[in-house]
Amino acid sequence: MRNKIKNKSKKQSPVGAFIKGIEVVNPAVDGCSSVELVGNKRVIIEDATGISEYEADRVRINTKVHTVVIDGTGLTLDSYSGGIIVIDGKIKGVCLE
Amino acid sequence: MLKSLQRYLLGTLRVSISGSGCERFLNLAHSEKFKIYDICRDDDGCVSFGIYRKNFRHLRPLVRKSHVRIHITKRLGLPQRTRNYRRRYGLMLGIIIIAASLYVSSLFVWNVRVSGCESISEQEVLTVLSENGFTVGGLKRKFNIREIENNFLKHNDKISWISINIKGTTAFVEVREKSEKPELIDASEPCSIYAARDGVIASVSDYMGYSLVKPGDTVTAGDLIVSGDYTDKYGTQYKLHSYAKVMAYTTHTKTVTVPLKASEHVRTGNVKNKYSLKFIRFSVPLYFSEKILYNNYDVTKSEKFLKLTDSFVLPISLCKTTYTEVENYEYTKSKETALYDAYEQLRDFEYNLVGIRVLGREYEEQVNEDSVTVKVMLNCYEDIGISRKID
Repeated sequence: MRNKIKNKSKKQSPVGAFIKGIEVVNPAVDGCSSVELVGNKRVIIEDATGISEYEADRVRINTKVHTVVIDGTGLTLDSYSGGIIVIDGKIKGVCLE
Repeated sequence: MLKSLQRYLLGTLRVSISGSGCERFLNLAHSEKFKIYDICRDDDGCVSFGIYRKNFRHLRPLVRKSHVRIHITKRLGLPQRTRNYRRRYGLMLGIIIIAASLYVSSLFVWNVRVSGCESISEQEVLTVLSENGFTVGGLKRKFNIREIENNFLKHNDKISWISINIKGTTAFVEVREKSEKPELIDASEPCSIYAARDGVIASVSDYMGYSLVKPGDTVTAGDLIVSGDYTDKYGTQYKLHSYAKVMAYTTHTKTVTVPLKASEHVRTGNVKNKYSLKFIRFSVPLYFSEKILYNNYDVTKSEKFLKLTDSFVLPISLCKTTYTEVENYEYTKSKETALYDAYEQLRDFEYNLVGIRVLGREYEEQVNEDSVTVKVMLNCYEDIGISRKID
């Protein structure tokens, strides 16, 4: 009986099992956007839906699921096209809200 | 790099927006698919960004919607630069004339580069080419390359193959020289073997024909060694194509005389350069005096073409004529040096004897008051047989 309960809690959807099997995170399937941090100089956010705040020390980016807040100094938006935002500057922190 | 070039060619604007709706403006610009880049917040609170010139006028509705004030801070790129010169008609005319003259000059051949010459000179090839209508300054499309190549081969026996490729305004001429073939007698024609030079026969390997000599016999140049024309004991006459290897001991002699008094041109270090500008066939001297200050001098000429690329040569060239002063320096060699020079010459003579095995050398020196003479007698082992047709 205990074994049966244990097996049930581990059960995954076939799509999830496939994604886990091929060891990639597919944002389209998972529904989440990708946030890539390159050292402390650059952040690349994919599937951004908009900019909610832009200051030299803070940028708040809306994505489908959550809001990404980047703290730093001298923050510039290097490019903003096709839902991809590239933020340059001295990055101190990235957090999700 | 490519993006920067594209921005430069299309022209960009540096735009600054201020107000509370900057973020909204950026979101609207993104949703309208305007390419904006390098967005940064200035110290005065304004947001500035770069945008293509052509997109700027489409920003007006977005400005109204987002309640921001917009103004252009900088104009960048080629359109802006050319805008500054739009009223300078002389400059425009100059650019048009240069472009037109470049186009016109690209229709002609201004330079010919010859490669593959070994025994014949490049000048000789150029002369034959010009005789066939291929000259510097000719219109490219008027040249029938195939016909010129064929005519060249018809009129020149020393060249076996020629290829003319025109790239830009340069013609690359590649030639292959004919190798000297020995005079061969047709295998069906009867011939005999004769001695090419004096010697003592070492061996005769007659593969075909009737041998008239045996090892140890002495022959002189022109003697018949293997006959292709003979009659057997039954009276039947045969005429054959003789083929034999006639090895003989021969001697080659060479006498070299080196005078003790010699002279050579020595450069004094004084050099005078004269430049001239050449346009097609017209030369404009860039000097005032034609006079050359030196009594004895060597002259070297070089020509440097103005070119856009390696193969796009323009019909303008800078000719440099260098006059180098020389002095005739007379000196007397020591006898040892003269002997050394004589032996060097004899070594060169021996080196040039191809297909001959040297068995021994006998030297004879003679030292005179004003010269040194060295005579060498080489004892050799070689094939002395040569074929001649039977008349």
